[in-house]
Amino acid sequence: MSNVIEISHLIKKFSRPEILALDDISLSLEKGRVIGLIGPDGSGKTTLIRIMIGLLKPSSGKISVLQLSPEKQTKLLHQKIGYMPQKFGLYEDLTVLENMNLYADLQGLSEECKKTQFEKMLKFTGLAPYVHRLAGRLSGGMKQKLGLGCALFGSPQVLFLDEPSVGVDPISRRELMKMIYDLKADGITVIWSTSYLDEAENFDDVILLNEGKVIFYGHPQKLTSIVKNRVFLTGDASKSPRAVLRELIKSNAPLSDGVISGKNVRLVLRKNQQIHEVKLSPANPRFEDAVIDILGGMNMQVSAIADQIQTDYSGESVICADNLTKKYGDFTAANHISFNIKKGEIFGLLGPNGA
Amino acid sequence: MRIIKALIKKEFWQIVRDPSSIMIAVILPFILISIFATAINLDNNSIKTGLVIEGNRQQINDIIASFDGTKYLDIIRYNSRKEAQRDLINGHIRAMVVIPNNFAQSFMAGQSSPIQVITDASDPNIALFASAYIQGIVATAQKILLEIYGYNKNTGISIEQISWYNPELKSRYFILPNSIAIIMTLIGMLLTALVIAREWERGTMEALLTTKASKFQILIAKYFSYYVLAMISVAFCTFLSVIVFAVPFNGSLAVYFVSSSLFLFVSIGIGLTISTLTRNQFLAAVTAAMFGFLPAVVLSGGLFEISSMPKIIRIFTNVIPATHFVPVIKNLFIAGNIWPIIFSESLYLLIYGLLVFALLYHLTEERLER
Repeated sequence: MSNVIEISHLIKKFSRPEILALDDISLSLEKGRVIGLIGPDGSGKTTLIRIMIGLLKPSSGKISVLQLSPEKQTKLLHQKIGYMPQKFGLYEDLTVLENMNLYADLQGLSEECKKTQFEKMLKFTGLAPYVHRLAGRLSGGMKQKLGLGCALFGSPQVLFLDEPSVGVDPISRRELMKMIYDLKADGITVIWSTSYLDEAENFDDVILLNEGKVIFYGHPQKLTSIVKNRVFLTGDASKSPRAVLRELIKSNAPLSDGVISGKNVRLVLRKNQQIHEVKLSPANPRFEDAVIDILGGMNMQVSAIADQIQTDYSGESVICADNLTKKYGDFTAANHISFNIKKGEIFGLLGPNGA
Repeated sequence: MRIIKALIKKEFWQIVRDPSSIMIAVILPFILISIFATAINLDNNSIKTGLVIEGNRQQINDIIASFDGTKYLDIIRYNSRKEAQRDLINGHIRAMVVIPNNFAQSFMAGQSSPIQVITDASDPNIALFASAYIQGIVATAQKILLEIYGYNKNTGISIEQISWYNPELKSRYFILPNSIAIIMTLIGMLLTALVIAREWERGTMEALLTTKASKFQILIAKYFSYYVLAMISVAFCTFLSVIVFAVPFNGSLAVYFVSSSLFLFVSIGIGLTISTLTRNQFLAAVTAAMFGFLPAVVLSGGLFEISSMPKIIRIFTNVIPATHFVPVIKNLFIAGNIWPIIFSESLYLLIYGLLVFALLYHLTEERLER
């Protein structure tokens, strides 16, 4: 049997408040793959992971992980899996090394085993310069790397990661993903949950959950292909993209999704529909387009507020920063920063953790 | 064993790095002990005491001189017992001493000679000090008298002591041993009430549950770590009380160690149970203070006499572990090893502690839901 996880007709109900978190889920997950568990917030991702590792009991249905019952053979299962919870599960008041020692001991690693695993893990995560730093003082990305490293002690066969990329900058996110693919080479199966759809294309397989149901399970490209030939870009040099989109919506165009993309509008048409009002140029379908489409598309309506809100901004600044500098002791957090934010602007502050 | 060791190590790092646990374990006891100890000293000076001498003054001049010479009592002379009693009722004086008519005669005749001491025990501490000072004065005076008049095996002044308003005065003795019991409750219950809730709040419990560690190992590590912290605090408090504030310690240190351990076994168990039930640090702290710490202060018999409480509350006091520790620690300091009390209370605490542990073990879930 090459399936690591078998789930059939799994249902999970919570009481107070009564919620049907998982609604009749059946899945067979293959060994040695990186599987993305995706879906909007509240779709049941965390609940499913927690049931798979025995932290929650199913209300009904069957589940086996590595041919073990998470419900009855919990401790036995825990020796064969690694888990990284959504909240940082390590002790922030312990140093990196103390956390490593604790988790290595809790996984029953021998002293020699510890030495080689620590060396490997520090090299792998790049945490070697920070071993004596308190875990609470690490950046978001480093915390997740430490969490991942600790989850790997005891050489698990399946690794469960619950939203490992939340609060992690794109650079660290890529590093995390690369680590996971290095692990895959060792034959580990990885279950990675996320609500960031742009991560999904990296996975071997994705499970798309919505309202406790599996909407899709398979290779991400297979999902993307459902919107093939339905994604277009359109634009009008004389009008703002927002105005173009608003007119399309008002004319009841058969849109599944429409988003502003720079000077253009990116449109996903509903199946077997055409529009002729505007000139369309075909675009490459994205995974995100397919997910929105399969979840029923966006509710395309013109915002009542947007129609009324005054859009003529005279260019007055509401926030002005002039040579802003902030130091914490010797550390300069912000160094001579100047900018103006004008009324009506959406102003983005971008940068990796600690920028 | 290795898992328990690793968990204990973790608990110690957390204790050491958390300034609040050091505060509660060392600084707070220091402040509490100092306050209790100096409160006693403040009461030392000039307790207004009435002195009624019914008989011939000449023969007992030495006794009167002893009373007049003390700096602890502010002596006011009365001509009759009635006048003194009226002032005691009014609260003008806190205690009165009556040297009866036949005192000199019987003393000279070598008989037992009573002196009456009446204290206003509505403020028990002051009453306690007053009677203690009077006893001291009388003992000194007796020594002088015996030197003058010669020894006789029957000779001696006996003090007939009456504590008005509260006849149980004697059982409520020194306050510092009680405050040690209160401090132990503080560490054993309040600090531990936070620790499991903290693991739930921070999400570390979720990670811990997926390791090899069993709930038994997790609990034992917590019991042990906070037991050690509390015992350090107990040693510190005892040192302060005995060495700095000169409270006598008459019992055996081994008994003290064992009974303190049993008391902490119960207290820590209750604290951890509260923590497990609430899974929220704030709620746990409030619960521990309301149902653990306050009753220990008010209902354990440390400050207020249990036998004077209504029956239903008296029954309730048995639930409070401090109720079964205060008599032991009080006797260890003041009286010494009183074995019947030590055995019965220790057995009670042991059984109580085991029951709490069983309950805690039952309540501790190895899953996220109950």
